[in-house]
Amino acid sequence: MNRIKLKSILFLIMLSASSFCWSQGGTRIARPYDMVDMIRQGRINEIERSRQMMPRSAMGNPETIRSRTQVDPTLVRTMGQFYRFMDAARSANDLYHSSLALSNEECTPDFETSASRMMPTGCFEDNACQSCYQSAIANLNVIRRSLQRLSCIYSNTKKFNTSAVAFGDNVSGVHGALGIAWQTERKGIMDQFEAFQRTYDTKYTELMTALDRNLQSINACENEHGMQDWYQRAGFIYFELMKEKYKRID
Amino acid sequence: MKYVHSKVMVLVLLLAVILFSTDALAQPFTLDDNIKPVKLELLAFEDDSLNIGKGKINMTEVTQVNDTLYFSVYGVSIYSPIYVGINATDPDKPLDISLHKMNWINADRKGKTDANGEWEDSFKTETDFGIRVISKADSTNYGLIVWAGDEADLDLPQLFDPEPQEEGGLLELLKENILYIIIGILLLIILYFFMKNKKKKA
Repeated sequence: MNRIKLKSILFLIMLSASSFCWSQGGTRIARPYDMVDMIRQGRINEIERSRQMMPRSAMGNPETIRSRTQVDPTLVRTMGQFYRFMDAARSANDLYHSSLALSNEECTPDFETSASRMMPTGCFEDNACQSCYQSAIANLNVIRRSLQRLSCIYSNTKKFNTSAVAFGDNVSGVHGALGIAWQTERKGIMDQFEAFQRTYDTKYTELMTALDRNLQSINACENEHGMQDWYQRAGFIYFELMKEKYKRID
Repeated sequence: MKYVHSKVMVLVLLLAVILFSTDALAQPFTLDDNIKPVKLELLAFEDDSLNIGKGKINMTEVTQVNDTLYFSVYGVSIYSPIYVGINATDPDKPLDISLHKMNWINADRKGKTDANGEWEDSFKTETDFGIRVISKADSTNYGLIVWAGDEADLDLPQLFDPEPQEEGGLLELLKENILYIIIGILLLIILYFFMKNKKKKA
C-alpha cells in the first residue's frame, strides 16, 4: 500500500515537474540587464560584418571583439536587426511620424479637427506674458493630448466591444451548447464595457476640470499682460467646445 | 502654476493606469480556449549609443514546436512608435507573421521572414496588440523583439491667434492720421478762399 502511495507521489512530482518544463520550454524572456549587453553585441556584430568588407589595414584590433563573452547568437542577431532598423529610422520621433496605425479602423489622434487658432491673444509679442504663458500652454497641450487619447481609447474599445459581441452572437447561433456559455461571456463583456464607460466619464470630468483651471491660468496672464476679460471673450467658448467634443454621447 | 502642472501629470498617469487595467477587454478577442497568448512584458530600456531615446523593450527567444504561437503586448501608447522584429535562426524555415488588433481571425498586417530569416514592421497603436507566428517546420528557433519608444513630441496646432496687428497700408495711414488730414484740408480751403478774396480786392 505504502509502495503504491510512494509511486503515486513520485508520479505526481514528475508530472508537475514536466508541466513546469513544458510551460517554460517554449519561450524565454531576456532580462533587462542582458539587453544592454545584447544590443552592444548586436552592434559589435554589425561592426564586425562591416569590417570584413574593409581592407585589412583598416580593421584595427579584432581580438578585442572576439574576446568578449558570447551572448545567445539568435538574440544578438535579432538585436543587430533592430539596431540596423533604428539607424535607418534616424530618431524615434521620425519613426513615429512615418508610421501608420496598426489597424485601419483604429482611431488616431487628430488635432487638426480642433478649432485651431480660434482664440485671440493679447500677449503674442510680450516677453513677460510669454513667460507667464509657458507652463500654462504646456499644461494645456498635455490636456489636449490626454483628451484626444481618452477619446481614441473609448472609440477603439467601443469598436472592439461591438465586433466581439457580434462575433460571439454569430458563432453561438451555430452551436446550441456554445450559446449558453456565450451568454455568460457576453454579460461579462457588457458589464466590463459599462464599467469602462463610467471610468471614461470620471476621467472626462477630471480632465475638463483641469482644462478649466488651466484656462483660468491663461486668463490671469492675459489680464496682467494682454487682453482683459480673455476668459469671457475666448476661453469660455473654447472650454464649451471641448466639453461638447469629448462628451460621451452613447 | 506648478500645482496645476503636477495635478495634470497625476491625472494623465491615473488615466493610463485605470484605462489600461481593463484586462477583460484585452485585445485581440477570441472565443477559442486553445488560443492562450504569451504575454510579452515590456521593460524599461535605454542605451545612449542608440539614437532612439528611452523606451520599453521585450526580447524573447522562442523555440516553436507548435504550428502556431500567439503573443500579446500590453501598455503601449498611440503617441509612441512601435517596432516588432523577428529573426529566424534557420532562414530555410520561414515563418508567417501577422499582427492583430481586434481579433485573432482578421490580421491587420501580414508578413514572412525573408531570405535572411528576418521580418520587421513598425506602426503605432493604442493599449495592446497581438502577434501570431506560424511555422511549417517541426521546430523553429527565432528571436522576437518588441520595442515601444517614449511618446513622441507632437507639434499641436496653435490655438492662439494674435489680435490683428493694425499696421501698414494706405487705409491704415488714413485712419491713423485722419485728424491731421482733416485739419490740412480745412487749412487748404481757408487758404484758397483767402487767396481768392485777396485777388478780388486787388
